[in-house]
Amino acid sequence: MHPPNQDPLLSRAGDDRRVAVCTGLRRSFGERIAVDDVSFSIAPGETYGLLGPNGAGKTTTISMLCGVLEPDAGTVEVGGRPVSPRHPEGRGAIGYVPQDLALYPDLTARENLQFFGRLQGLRGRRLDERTGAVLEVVGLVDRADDRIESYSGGMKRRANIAVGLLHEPRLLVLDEPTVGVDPQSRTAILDAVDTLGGEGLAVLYTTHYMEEAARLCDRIGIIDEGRLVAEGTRRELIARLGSASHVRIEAIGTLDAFVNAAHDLPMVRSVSTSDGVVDVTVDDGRRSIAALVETAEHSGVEVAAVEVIEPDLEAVFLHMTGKALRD
Amino acid sequence: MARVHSTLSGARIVAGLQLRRRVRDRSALLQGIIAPIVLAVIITTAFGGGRSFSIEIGVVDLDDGDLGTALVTGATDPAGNDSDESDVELIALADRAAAERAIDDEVLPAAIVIPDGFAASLAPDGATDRSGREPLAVEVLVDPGRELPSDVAVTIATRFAASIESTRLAATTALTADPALALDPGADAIIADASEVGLPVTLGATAFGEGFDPITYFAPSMAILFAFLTLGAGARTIIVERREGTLARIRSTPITDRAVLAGVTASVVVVGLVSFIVIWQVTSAVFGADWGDPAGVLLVIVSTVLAVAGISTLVTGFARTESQADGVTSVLAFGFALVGGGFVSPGDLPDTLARVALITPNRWALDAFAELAAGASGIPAVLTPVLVLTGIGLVTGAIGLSRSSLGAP
Repeated sequence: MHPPNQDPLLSRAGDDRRVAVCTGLRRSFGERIAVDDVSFSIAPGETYGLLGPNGAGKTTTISMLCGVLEPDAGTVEVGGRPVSPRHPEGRGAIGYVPQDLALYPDLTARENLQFFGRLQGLRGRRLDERTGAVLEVVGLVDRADDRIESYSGGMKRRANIAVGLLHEPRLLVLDEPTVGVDPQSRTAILDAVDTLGGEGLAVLYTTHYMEEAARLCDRIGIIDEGRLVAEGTRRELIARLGSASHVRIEAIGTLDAFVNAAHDLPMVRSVSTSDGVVDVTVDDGRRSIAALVETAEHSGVEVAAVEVIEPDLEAVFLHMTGKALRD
Repeated sequence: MARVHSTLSGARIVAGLQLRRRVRDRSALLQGIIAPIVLAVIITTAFGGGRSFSIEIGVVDLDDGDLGTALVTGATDPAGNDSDESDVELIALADRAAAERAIDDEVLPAAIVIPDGFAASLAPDGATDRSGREPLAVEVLVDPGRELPSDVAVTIATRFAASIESTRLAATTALTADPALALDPGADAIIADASEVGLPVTLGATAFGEGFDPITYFAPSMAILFAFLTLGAGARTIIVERREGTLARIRSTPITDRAVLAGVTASVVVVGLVSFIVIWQVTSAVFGADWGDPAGVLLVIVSTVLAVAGISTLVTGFARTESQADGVTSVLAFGFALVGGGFVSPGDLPDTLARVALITPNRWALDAFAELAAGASGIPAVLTPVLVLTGIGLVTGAIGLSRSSLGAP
């Protein structure tokens, strides 16, 4: 595997249209390195997905990108301007939608929007116009003057996104926007992101849901333990698997012996286990099933189900990191 | 591309939001205004609702003349009412040594010494030179650790001297205008009569007539106690907003961290000022409390709020969690109120505690309010406590703000 900065898929240095450019971002908290040498860029109209499990470093990366957190090393530029706590001027080009509902529950949606709009430099009629426009976009016009605390979870999420769109940013940063959202609201949010990307807005979308990244993102960066381990379009990333397949085995019994034995099989590239499920990346899925089942039985494990999963981002993640995305 | 807000502009937006939220928060109204007034009224009622505490001050009348008698009468019973209701009790002492012993032994907080020959030094001296004589000085002995009773003694002596001086001035003016009057054998009697009539009334009405109504003492006392709780909640805004994620969102806009801190701090101070001023006005209008010179009261309120806001910011700066800040603030609020004499009458604190009380902003503020309620006016009368309170606020606030890093999201 190439180190991230030498990966041919990572380099977009010649693209002058880039809205956001992160170079060599690094940040540690005490002894723990949360983000290590992360670089990527996003073009106008592009939706860039940052895919990784919880604790991978996505939120820390976003905090540095939005100028909220000072990197130990590396730089961020958005709209051609540096962004950091020391350079707040660049933040005006960013619409940040945090993972948590960053709204004042005792204020109405309109009051929340007007407060954050003022912080973004909007005033008077322009502020009123933009407030009305984003309320329209997220479908909250009828409830605009109700307090946020009276909203349903999905409505709160939509109001949360509306604040990020208020000042017409060049880059919209969405940090796990669908966590804890009902299916209907989730679909609405994904549709909205799709539409915004189509209108030329650059979007950074972090998620640990593979299917969201696959559906929305033009390019995807896979992040694990603070490092960007791979980047590219979905097709480019899956192509990295070559002939590798993903076999998922549901098993009953002590899995450790099976996992160790499976590692020793010549066709197996990686094995991970979680909650009675063993995920195995093999060179040829269908031909490997018999060997895997036999190994399981020899290890004293009862196989309940076997599934060959077509190459997808989860298989890529397993291939690149040696562990399942849900870990 | 948005421009970065100036600190003032950004702070104004942040402060505006915080104030809007505080106004809507009914618990803030309860804590900041209603509770202090109700508690002050309850405590006042418990103290009998009237002038229920007294201050004992020694008097050594070495002159043994009418003026000494007038001093005692004027200070303790200005309008000739039942002396049991008086705020100030003057205790006759034999001599200066007895007064010094009483103060050293902490029996009395202060004593006024009228020197031998005092009345004679005021008496007219011939027909042509009545204004040239310097009267003997009235001496005030004080225990520095018991500030309020000492101030009372000094005030009595000052009023006493001022009253005498005004009588002397009037007589001198009359005699200067008409030298023939000096030859009138009845002139001295007229001057003496004027002194005896005017002295007690002036002394009683201006120094201690209605000044020490308990509501006037306990209203600011409770206002300070609850200011700690109200302003503490305001100062914890940073911690709360960090937890709720709104701080990270604010910091993702073109606003500096300094503006955010300034905005939150400004809102805390404004809430404290409004709360205090409303308590002042309500207790004055509804309960007849006389806080004293408005300019002085306002100055003391501002400096007290600064002190409380500074300490609240300090607590927030060092606290790791919201609940930790809340707990420490509550302990400080009630601890300062107890040690600072917020629950007892002025002058009732044991001597040692009275000295310890000076480490609390409550004591300095209450002394200043008592001074104003006793009739003192003008900035010089409260300058020392105002400077101390402001200093406490600035120092603790600066340390607290330096520790109040907005931190990682």
